[in-house]
Amino acid sequence: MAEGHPSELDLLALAEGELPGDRRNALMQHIDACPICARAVGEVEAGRAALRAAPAVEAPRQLRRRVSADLDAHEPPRRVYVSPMRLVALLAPLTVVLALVAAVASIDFGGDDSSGGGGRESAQADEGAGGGDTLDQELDAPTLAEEGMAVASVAGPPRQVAAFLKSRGLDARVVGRRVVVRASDPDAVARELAARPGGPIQVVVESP
Amino acid sequence: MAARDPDGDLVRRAQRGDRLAFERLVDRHQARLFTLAARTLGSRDEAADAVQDAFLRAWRRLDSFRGDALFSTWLYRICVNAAHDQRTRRSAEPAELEDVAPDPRDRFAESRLSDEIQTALDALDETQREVVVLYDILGCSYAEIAEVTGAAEGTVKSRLFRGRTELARRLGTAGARGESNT
Ligand SMILES: [Zn+2]
Repeated sequence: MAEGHPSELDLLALAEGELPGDRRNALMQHIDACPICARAVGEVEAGRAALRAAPAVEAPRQLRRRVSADLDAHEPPRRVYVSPMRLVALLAPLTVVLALVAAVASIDFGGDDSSGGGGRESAQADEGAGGGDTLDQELDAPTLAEEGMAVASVAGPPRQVAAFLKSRGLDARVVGRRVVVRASDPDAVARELAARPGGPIQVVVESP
Repeated sequence: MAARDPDGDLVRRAQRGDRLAFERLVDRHQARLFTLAARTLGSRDEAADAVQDAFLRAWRRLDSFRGDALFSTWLYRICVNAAHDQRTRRSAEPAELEDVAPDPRDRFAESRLSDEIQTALDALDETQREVVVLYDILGCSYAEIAEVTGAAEGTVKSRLFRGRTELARRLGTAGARGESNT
C-alpha cells in the first residue's frame, strides 16, 4: 500500500460506520480522490452484503437425536457447586437453627420431554433429622431417570421455603416432608430460590 | 465476569449434572452452531459431525467453563475447533470433492453446499472464512471473535477486511474486478 492511503482498519471502520464525524470526513475526502481506496471500500461493502444475504443452512433432523444419544452415553463431569466449607461459612449464622430444625430440602427438576417446555416441576424439602437424604421415588414418570434428571439439595426449613415461594406467586405447599411446587418453568423456581432473602440457597450436588 | 449471560442459569444447572438443562442449551444453540460449521466446512454432513462433536465436547468439559466469556462464545470456540479437526480429517483421507450432480429436489440428501456464496467462501483461507462467517452471518462482535479464534482484535478486523474483499472479487460484485492482487 502506497504511503498516504488509509489503513485497512480505517477503511473497514469507515464501511462499518464506526468512525467519528471528523475522521469520517477526512477519509471520505481521500476516497473521493483515490480510486484504489474507493474500490477497496466498495469490495468490503459488497462482501458484507453477499455474506448477510447468504441463505440459512438447515441442520439435518437427525442431528438433534444424535446429540442426545451422545449425552446418554457420556456422564458429565460432576462439579460441587459450593464447597462444604464455604457452605458452612455462609450458613454460620443459621447453623443453630438449622441444627434444631435439621432440615434439608431437595429440589428435583424434571420435565416431560427433552425439548423442554412446561412440565410438572417439583421443589421438595425433606425434614429428615440429621439432614438425611430422601430420594423417594414418588417421581412417577419413568422417563425422568432416562432424561438424566438432576437431584440437588438445598438447606433450609421446608415451611419457610414454601412460604417464600408462595409469596413469590408460586403454587407451593408443604406435603409431608417436602415442598411441592407446581410451576410452568423450572428456571423460574430456581431463580426465585436463588433470590430468596437471607442469602442464596446453597445447592449441593448428590449422585443420582 | 461477562455481562449477564442469558444462558447463565441453564449452564449452572447443567454444571450440576442437570441433563435437561443442557438439552435446552442444545436446542438454543444448535441452529447457529450448525450454520457456523456448515459455512466453514461447506458440507452438511461434515457440519453435522462437527456440531455433534462440539456438543459432546462441551458436555464433557462443562466444568471447565468459568463464565469468563459468554457461554455462546465458549461454545463457538469449541465448534470452530471441532470444524477445524473435521477439516484436518478430510485432508488426511483425500476424497474427490467433485460435484455428483445431486437431485435438485432432494435438498437434504445433497450434503455439499453449492450456492454461489459457499463456492466463494470455500476459496478463502480458513482463518478468514471463520471470521467472515462469525461476523457477518452469526453477527458476533470483534471481541467475541477474538475470544473464539484466539486472535487479537486487530487481526480479526484485518481478516474480515481481506475475507470480504476476496469474496467480492470472486463473486464479481461491486465493480470488484480488480486485477491487482494483494
Ligand atoms: Zn487511497
